[in-house]
Amino acid sequence: MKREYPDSGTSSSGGAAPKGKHPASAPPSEEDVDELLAALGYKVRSSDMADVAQKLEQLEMAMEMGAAASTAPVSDDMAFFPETVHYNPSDLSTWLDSMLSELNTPPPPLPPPSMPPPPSVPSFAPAESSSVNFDPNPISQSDPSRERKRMRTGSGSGSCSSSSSSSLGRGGAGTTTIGSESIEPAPVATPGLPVVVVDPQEAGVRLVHALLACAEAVQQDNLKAADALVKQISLLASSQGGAMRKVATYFSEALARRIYRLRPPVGPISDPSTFDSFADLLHMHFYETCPYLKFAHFTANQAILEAFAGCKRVHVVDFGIKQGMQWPALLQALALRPGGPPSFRLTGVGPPQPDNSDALQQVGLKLAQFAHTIRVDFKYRGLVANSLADIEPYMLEDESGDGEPEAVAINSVCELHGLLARPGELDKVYHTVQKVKPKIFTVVEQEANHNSGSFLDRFTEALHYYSTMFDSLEGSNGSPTEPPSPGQPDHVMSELYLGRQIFNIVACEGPDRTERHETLAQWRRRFSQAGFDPVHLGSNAYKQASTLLALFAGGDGYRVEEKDGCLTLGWHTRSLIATSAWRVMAA
Amino acid sequence: MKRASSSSSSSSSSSSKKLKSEESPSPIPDLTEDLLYEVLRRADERTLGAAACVSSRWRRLAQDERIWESVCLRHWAALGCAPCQLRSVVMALGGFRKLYVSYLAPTVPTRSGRRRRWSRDELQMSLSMLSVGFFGMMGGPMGKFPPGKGI
Repeated sequence: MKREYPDSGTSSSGGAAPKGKHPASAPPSEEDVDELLAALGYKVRSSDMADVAQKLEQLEMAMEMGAAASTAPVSDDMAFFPETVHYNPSDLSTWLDSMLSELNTPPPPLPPPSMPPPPSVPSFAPAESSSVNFDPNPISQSDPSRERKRMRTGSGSGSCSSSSSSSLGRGGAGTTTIGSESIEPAPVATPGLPVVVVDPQEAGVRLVHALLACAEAVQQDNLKAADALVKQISLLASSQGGAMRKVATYFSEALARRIYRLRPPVGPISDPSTFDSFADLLHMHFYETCPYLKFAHFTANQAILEAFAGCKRVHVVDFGIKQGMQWPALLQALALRPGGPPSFRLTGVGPPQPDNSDALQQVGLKLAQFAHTIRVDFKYRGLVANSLADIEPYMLEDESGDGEPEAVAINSVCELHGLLARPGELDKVYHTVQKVKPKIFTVVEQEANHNSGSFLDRFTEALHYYSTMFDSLEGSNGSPTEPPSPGQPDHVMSELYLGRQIFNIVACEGPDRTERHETLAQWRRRFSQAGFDPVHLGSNAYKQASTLLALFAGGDGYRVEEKDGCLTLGWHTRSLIATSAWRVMAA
Repeated sequence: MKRASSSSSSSSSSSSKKLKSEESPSPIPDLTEDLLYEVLRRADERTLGAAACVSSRWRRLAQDERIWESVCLRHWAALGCAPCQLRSVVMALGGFRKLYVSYLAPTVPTRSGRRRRWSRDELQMSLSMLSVGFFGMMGGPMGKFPPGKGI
């Protein structure tokens, strides 16, 4: 499900913004187009704004006269505009020119029927001013009270844009709205006629506007406005379906938590780092229903396998062992190695359990049993640590001290970003890794910047990221090898898994905000500065990933890409998760 | 279990075999187990599936792991490991027939005229998935977690 919506540039100032049927069609070729209009899909140079305004007024007048002077078969009001949809309205300036030139050579005028002129339309004001006059149109059936309320809360300028766009959308008649559905010169004869039905696409854009406006209000500490907007968001969200509705629901819930300071530091719903059985369950479901984690595991395993070539004793350190789902495949690949498997040692790191159960040991036992089944010599050690920074090199040492040294691989799947919540922790981990001198350090992280200083930037980025994620969950819906069961509980669990991350990003701050995702480029910089060299993931890893997608029948929208030796998996054009590998820089 | 058009011929031949063994010596030789095995060993997957529906004896033979091992090994390039190595691992993780049915078969489009060979990567991927599936089915703290939909 493709969805286009503006980025944060819209919320800067209010202003009239025409809505239309074809938003965001052609890419702009000119520079310095007006931001607000551009966000809605109309490319108008800022310098041309007054000109465009004038042309719009001219067009309006021409239409008035044209309505009066239309040819005989004009019983159908829409026949007057037979070609409205042929022009691309996004380049507003030239579109207006073409419309005007067309209308300026009208058919021979007939005696005009008595037709009242269309009601006065909002004057098209340049985007910079936030004075939008609109009169509650007799034509529009929208509730003007809501719009007035929106205008009142327009102290936060973000809300202004949403209100103005909606009012114009509702306002309907007149030249400021392009698109045949809203140009209604004739029905003015019956003022009570409803004009515009809520276009779900339009509602979707408004929903996004409202979300962004609310985030901006929160950033400005304008909690009253934010509160009002949150309520509107839930209303708007109910008009949507599918992924958009779910995303909006999670984000509005997260905003509500932030507004009302409902920030429980720990809790099954809001804290994704709690390693309780509920989190495990969600994690498992997420693993099963979409390929991101499998991609992570298989590409990392391939890198580790290649790094371990020829080594007789290997040691893998897993920074977040969870249920140990990554390791059976590696054990199997090692078992099938020409020359036989090495002796394998695994150190699994996990957080302490709230219920004092020894989950780490249980995972270890299960893996040991598996290894025994396929005849791989296996040893396991569990490390309980609140934070990865608590790990010291001696904890990872080889206690048996046999002749042959171990080859060490360190693996971290979505564990490093949590370290950014507390200063100094990441550096400590880097330091420890350097001491251990692994053959390879495989790192998988979400490909997004959810750690910028500005709350609004974070919010916008997260909105985009999780929308794409939810889209991919939706998209891989009907295409697994078996038909999906009604209700699809798996998807609900996966969505909740993602929802907890959303709550953390939006509602938490400071050390509680552990979902501090950063992009591959940012991680690359960090690793280079910390003294690591990149290891290129070979073509085998790429082939594994492609095969995984081909097997995963919903693979149509997923894309594997290679970027400077790192692999990313994304949905359509957006990368969502990235695998990279590192080794300690040679001194 | 895949059914092919050969099923009708197989079943008719078996039923006719049964009838004839009761009545008079049949012109169709009564295949011993070894011979039947040799025949099935050369059959393709769909025929094997059909053959397994004939009778319990045929089923036992058609589901023989050695046959499915040769089905799996028929198409791919060498994995690099010794066959006995592969055999012990795969048998431990559920067997070749399971490997084929659950993880290799989905890679092959069912309606293609020419049956596509699977590549080494597909084989490795299916082995990985077999491992994950087996691990998921093992008893443990989370109990049984089947491989589920969509692999």
